[in-house]
Amino acid sequence: MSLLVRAIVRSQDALRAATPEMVVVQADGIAALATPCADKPPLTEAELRTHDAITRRIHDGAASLPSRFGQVFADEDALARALRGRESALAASLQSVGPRVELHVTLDWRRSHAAPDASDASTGRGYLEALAVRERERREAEQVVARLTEQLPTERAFIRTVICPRDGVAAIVAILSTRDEVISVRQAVESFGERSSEITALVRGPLPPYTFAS
Amino acid sequence: MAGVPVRGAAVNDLEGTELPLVDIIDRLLERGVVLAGGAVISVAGVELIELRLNVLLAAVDALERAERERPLP
Repeated sequence: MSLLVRAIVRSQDALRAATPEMVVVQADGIAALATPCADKPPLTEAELRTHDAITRRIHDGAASLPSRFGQVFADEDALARALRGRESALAASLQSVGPRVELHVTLDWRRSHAAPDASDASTGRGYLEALAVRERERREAEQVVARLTEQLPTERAFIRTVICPRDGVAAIVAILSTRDEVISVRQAVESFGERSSEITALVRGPLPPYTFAS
Repeated sequence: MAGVPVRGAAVNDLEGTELPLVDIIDRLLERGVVLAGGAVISVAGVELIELRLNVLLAAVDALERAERERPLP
């Protein structure tokens, strides 16, 4: 039976964060929490949501780095070798992120945004015009995010942004926050969204720090 | 199996609210700590080594569903 990695924790936290179904693999100061799985875990919505729920539970019990879904190792030895290869970097990342949680903010455009796809243009002029519209939208989104981050009680290093990830979305902003700050950060974001004529702001979380774990 | 049941109320204080599938895919397949160079995931019985390919394949189905569920502007 193979092992599907769920999260990385400090060694001293491993037994507290693990549940009876989990396998704990230690390597120096860190440990991987994994669950037995088939050789090829199916990529289904149910499996993704299970992974999400397990990593949330782990992070609720201890500071952790949630694993990207789908990392399978043949056995405990293989997993331990991989852990040892990245032990110092993972320990440093655990130290940096600590027990902080992630807030997932989606900034949706208020106005209808159907930016043309340059690849659909049938003429050179149409292509360039479509590119210009996309670029203008990106600049507007960047300005919105800059105004938002100015109002957050959060270090800039703990904010990561994806601009215009898909039609209708100005940006997705990940904010790493202490648990004590969650309410104030949420209020700041929601207040920003309510006052903005350009975007609405939806805050989800707190969640495990996926964005800051890699 | 991969889908280990998650137990009761202890699941998390990190909020039980479900993320939309499109965000789940973005978070769980593109973010998170990586121990190995790639991942082995089975999609419709086909083994895929390259994680980027997985993301693309997953995204096609998931985004189509997300689009259908998304309210019209």
